[in-house]
Amino acid sequence: MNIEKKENFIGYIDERTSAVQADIVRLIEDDRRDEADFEKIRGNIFQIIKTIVQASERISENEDEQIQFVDSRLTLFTETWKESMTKATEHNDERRILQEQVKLEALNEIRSAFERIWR
Amino acid sequence: MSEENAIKLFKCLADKSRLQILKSLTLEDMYVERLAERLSLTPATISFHLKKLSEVGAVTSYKTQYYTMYSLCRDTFKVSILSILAEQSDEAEIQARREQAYRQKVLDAFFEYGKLKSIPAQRKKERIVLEEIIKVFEPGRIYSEREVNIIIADYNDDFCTIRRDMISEKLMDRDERGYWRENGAGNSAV
Repeated sequence: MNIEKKENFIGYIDERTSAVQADIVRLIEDDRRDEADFEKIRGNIFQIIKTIVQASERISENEDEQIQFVDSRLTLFTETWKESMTKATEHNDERRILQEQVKLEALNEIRSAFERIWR
Repeated sequence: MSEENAIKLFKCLADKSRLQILKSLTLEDMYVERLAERLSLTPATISFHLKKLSEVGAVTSYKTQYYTMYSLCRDTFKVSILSILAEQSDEAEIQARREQAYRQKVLDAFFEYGKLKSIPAQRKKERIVLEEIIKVFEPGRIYSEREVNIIIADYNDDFCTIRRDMISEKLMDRDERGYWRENGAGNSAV
């Protein structure tokens, strides 16, 4: 993977993770603990994708294959979480709906950054 | 309101966004998108909070032509906190059962076939034993000292000690007319 691009992407992930952490602190101080918990989920998504990007280097030395690996994971997560969102909506499970929404929001944001840097 | 429900309600209310939703609903009934706009939260976040508020009986909903409207359950908030505190808690019931079991254990240990085997040395245990004996005295009736002694002697030969201890424990009182059972004596759990 192109080192500069990878550093850009990891830098972006770290920056967003810090921003989410700050949001969590702000929400807790504002006595909005449930919303803080949902932001923790958002923060976790950034960390998961960071781990996947780092793992891609162990999968292959070929940059295209690494990009393909990350891209396939992003696609898989999107499909899985959309499916969960549909199920949650069918069952009027508001908590799950919000969880899946936060996960998909984070994923969309990450995918945009990913496309911007590598495509 | 039960203690369990009160805890659920208070936990639910301990959130700024949910309080803001309730404040908005004091003005008028609202639908999710309107609340989301007022509070700068996503509709999904508002729906999540409304579900929680609905589960504790703080809000209710009804369908109109286009929207599901949410309204404040005013009756829930008319209950005073003092009345919630005054209600007997489940914990108190458990405690009462525990105390009753202890009391029975003491009685079983010191009584045998209706006779008091010995006077407990521990004050708390003696109190339980005396409360059991005092039950044979009719409330409101005045007994002579001889009558008192004969009744107590049915339980234990040391009727003098027991009679005196009943007075000092305020289970029984006396004056020149005689002895009588104190109001409420022998009715407490322990």
